[in-house]
Amino acid sequence: MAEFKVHRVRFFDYMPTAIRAMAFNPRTERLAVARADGALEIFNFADNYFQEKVIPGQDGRAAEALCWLGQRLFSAGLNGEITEYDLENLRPRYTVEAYGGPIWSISSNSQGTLLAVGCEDGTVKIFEILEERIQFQRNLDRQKGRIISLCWHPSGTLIAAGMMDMIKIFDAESGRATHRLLVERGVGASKSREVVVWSIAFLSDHTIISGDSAGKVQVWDGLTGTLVRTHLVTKWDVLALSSSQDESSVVAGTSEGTVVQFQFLSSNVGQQDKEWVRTRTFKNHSHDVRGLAHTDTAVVSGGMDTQLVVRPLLDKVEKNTQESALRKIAFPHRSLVCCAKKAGLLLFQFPDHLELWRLGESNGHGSPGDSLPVKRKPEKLIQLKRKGEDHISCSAVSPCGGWLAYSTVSSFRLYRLQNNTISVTKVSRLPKDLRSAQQLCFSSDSTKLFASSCRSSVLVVDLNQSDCKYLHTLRPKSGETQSCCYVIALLATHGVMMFVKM
Amino acid sequence: MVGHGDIRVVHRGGSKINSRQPVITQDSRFLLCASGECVKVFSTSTEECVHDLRGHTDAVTGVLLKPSNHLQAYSCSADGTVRLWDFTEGIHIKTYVIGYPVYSIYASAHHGGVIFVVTPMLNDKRSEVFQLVAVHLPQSGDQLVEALELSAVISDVSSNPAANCFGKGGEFIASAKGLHLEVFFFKKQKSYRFSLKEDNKKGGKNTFMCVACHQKEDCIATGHEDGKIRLWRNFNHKKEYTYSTLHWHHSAVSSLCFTPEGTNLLSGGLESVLVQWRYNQESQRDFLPRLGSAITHIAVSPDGALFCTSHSDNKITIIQSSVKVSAVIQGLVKGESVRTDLMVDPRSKSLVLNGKPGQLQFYSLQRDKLLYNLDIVQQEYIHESGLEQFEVVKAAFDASGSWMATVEERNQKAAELELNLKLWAFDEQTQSFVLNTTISTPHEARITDMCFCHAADSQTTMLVSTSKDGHFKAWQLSAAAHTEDEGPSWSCDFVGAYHSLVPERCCFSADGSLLAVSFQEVVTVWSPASWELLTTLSQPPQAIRDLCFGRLSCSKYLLGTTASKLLCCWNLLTCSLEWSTTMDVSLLLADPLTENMAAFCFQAGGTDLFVFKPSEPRPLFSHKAVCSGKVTRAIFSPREEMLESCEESSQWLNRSQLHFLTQYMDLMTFTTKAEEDRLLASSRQLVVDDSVAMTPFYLLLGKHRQQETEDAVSSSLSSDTVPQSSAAIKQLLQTPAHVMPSTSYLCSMFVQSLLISVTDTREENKHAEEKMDSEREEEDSEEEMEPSNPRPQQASEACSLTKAQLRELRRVRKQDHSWSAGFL
Repeated sequence: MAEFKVHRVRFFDYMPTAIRAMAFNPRTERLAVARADGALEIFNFADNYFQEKVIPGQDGRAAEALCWLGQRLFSAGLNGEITEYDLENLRPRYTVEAYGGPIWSISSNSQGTLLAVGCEDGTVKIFEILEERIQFQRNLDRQKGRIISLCWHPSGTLIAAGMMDMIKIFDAESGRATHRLLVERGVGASKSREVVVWSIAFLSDHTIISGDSAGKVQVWDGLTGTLVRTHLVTKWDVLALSSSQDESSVVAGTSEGTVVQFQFLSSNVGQQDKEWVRTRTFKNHSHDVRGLAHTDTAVVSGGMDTQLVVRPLLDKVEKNTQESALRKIAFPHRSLVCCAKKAGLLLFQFPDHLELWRLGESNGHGSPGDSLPVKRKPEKLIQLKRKGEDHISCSAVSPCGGWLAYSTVSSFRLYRLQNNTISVTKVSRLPKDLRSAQQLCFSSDSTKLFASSCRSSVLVVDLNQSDCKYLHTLRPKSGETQSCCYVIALLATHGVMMFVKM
Repeated sequence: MVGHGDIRVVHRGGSKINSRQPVITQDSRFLLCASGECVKVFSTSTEECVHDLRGHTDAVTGVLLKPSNHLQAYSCSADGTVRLWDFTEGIHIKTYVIGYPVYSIYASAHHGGVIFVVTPMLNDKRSEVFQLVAVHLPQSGDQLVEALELSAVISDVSSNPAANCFGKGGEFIASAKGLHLEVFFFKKQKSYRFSLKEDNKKGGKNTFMCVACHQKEDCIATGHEDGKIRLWRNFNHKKEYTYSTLHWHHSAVSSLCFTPEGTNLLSGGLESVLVQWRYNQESQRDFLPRLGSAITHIAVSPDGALFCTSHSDNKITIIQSSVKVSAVIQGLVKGESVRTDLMVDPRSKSLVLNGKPGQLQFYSLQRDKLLYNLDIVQQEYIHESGLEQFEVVKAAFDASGSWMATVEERNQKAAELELNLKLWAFDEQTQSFVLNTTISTPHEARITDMCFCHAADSQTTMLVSTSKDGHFKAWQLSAAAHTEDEGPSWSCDFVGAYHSLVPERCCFSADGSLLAVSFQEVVTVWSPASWELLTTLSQPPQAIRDLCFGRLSCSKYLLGTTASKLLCCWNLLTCSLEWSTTMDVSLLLADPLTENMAAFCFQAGGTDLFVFKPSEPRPLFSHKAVCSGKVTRAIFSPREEMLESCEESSQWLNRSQLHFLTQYMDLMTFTTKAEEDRLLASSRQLVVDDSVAMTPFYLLLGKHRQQETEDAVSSSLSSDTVPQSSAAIKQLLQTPAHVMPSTSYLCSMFVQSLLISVTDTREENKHAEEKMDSEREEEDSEEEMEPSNPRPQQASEACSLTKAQLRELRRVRKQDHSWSAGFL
């Protein structure tokens, strides 16, 4: 067994960002999570909750709501734009301005033909979904006050919209509001403040379930427009709602960090008449729960405390299996740290800058387990700010410590490092194909750079003393173009490169 | 040694009424609760005890209304029987012998003829494992029935009665034990078992404490050790069960109860707050705070109008319309310890001891009722743990009961001991004690003993107190010198000490002429008149533990016990040791009415009782293993009426009763067989004839018949006509009434048969006269014969008359009444 020196790296100031919204696609078992910095993450629940894709954010863009439409993912934000994402190349495909002010919610009908967005100006805008893009169709009747939440009836004929102090039900055909459900304000001091219907669920039996800022979860009969039950869940806000696929259970996330489950149960065993009963309460968050998803076996929640919590429903899973364990996903699944072994350098990646640190040194020798005296403390060599609006998607430092590369969605940059004098010079002449990369890797002798690029190809670039030269492109066989490359690893001793496609 | 024969240790008076859930009757007029070995029936409006249902020979462990008849109630007991009572009349109807100790009882209207009891596992009686057993009650007319048909329903249940509950319509029974909830469905004969995790991270304790079932919906509420209430639903699935959690209580939920309509859930615990949760709107809840002490049980009347909570201080509170406390039934208050000794108030003959904090309670043992509480400390008691507050530690009465002395102390940390000696005079007008004198800091250190001079004829009353400060003080009532409007008050008369030793015990002789004070191992005898040290007695090497003068003829003896397990008897005339014996006496006390003395000896984990006269070497009575643990408090209380027992071993109980407190704070007493029989006889018993089915109609008939037979017996003494006519009566009475002709038809015959003796002689005479008219000549002799022996003639005449009636009755009886057989 070889001897290793262990460095305690306590200077990587990684700061995760809050979860804003969440959307679960039950068909593909993918969960899309929108973060406050605009980054989008996609988790594969079928594959051990792996964080499959990360679409880096952009300054000024943050998704307020997410919506899956088959394999396509849409987001809408307070900048008033609807964005569709290119999940192959991990970048926004296009954005469409809705012209209704900030967008609070987005929802698609179950047929997958129409997309409705709720805007600040009180309109519900319907977009038609085409093959490659979306097209504005029409507005529903404009209301006073913003549209905070939206939900389609599974039949696609009705839309329920949560607003200030009320819920409106629209006929999707005519665009007319058919019902107006008044939501009671809170008691006491909050009586004067209008109540916000933060989220809404429209079930196939025309039951509407709403969660509002007075802390109530209310069950409405959507046919008659009458209130059925009120559950006072919290003193503060109910921010998120999610119903299970079979519509027998609904979870509500509150700003106290609790998730409350409601179940559609018959009060007498074996009888048909059922009602919504508050059952379990989960407390896994320290702050607001903003995103919620009810999968078949678990409740997935995320919020201001940046953690994604997968809480299995013990009545749906086998006891004492891997599935029945509570999962908290707090760390990014891909490396934000790159190490130049020979030079003793560490590269830390942040959304808007890179930091290069030199590790501390010690000349002492000790028996295993001892802590050695530090001769030289670790020091920060370079802080490199990115250019442009886009956040950094990947970065790498060469093992010799002489090269540094990073990429955003729109640009790629390579730098030559002079270690002794600590100087950075940008390599200006880059191969034309090297526009952006999702993964970067240097060969162990620091003579080659591998970059995964669009359409699953890997570019190989030869690095000289001062400049670089395009060598060739490794392409997958035609027909495998949907997938993109996630991980590049180099087995240096054998000179074999492997890359994993998904 | 004298065997204890027929003397038994029993609970009588002052027993716990909060041990089991009380039951409110259908009409909300009565409250039934298990109390020691009997069931007490209280009126919910007047708080009075209406009946004692006596009969069980061990602690009653459960009371339950009979589901099919709301005027009857079952009670179960650790003696292995279930008894059926008519609680409005206080009549014992039936006894079902189960054969195993029964710890709780359940029944449902949907399971007719079956009761469910919790017994130890059938294979061994002593185990700590219990099971829920269904008992099929045999339909038999006998008063004592053996229930043989037992079938186990759930094994391994909790013996706590609150841990099992019938669900909606008797469809299932829920049983909780430890961390598991088991629901048994009767229709499917299947049980589901749900478990909770042992301990969650936040340190909550998930152990189940109690269970309640909604009566209209399938919902089970469970209370937990950490104060949570869980509402279980969908529990007919192994996996898809679900529960919601309510949390208000900060410590264990001890009782849960749904109101009959299921609109509210009541819960209670240590907080002494009754919490009312709206069913299905659990965020709304009402509180009824300040109920005095921790809630142990909650019961609701069948119409939901009355709630009733039992509390840990042996109290039952009745709450009307969910907001107002309408009645409080207070039993003997029992704290963790009795710091004052047990005493008897000479005036009211009631038992006096510590009650609520800072108070003395006066409890009538004869009526088994708390008379009143006397606030001694007269300071607000603050409910906070760890707070040192004034406590009553000593109390004493003088012989006539007109003076009472109390000592209260507060021992705050890092502060000096605070002591108050208070003297209370009995006020005839208000019939209670009124504070006369308060002496603050009567001694420098803790008071070890205190006693009044017991001489009834002495002019002045004297109190002696001994203290750890090495002094004993005599206090005397003296007229106030300064002002006229103030009455007499108490002041110190004498301070005594002996070689700077610490006095422990003091005792006056019966006539008040001598005072004995024990200074560690030395007993000093003083004359209270002159305060002269008369003599010292000592029996080294150990300190004196108890000191007691003999009474009446034995008043020349002074008895003392030492820590070195020695019981000594000194003769004060000779000032020498009369006798001594080795026994570890934990408590020695004298009967004030007789010469008898009782000594409780602690031996091998148990306590033995010896009753003896100081003058006689042989004990009058001894009882091995009275109870486990040490007995430190006991008292002789005078009887209201003397017993006339001639047996040597039970004579000592004739004039007074001996009560003692066990280490578990149970008040026990000794009773003789004769006394028990008398008590049992006084409670009404039902006499049941084997041949007749037990019906309310029968009860009527049975009583009537009893009366008839008594009449028959009494009249048979006067004349011998009736014994023959009683055959007809018997015939009449044994015929089921519903198959008989109308009363008006029978009445004349019946009355005639009874009036025979008078009318018959006249008729006889008439007949005779007629005969005389017709056959005067021929049968002169016969006529002459008649006056000489009229009786056989009368008898035969009566016989013939009744025979006619008999025939008539037989005819009536022969009418088909086989259809009625099914009812019998």
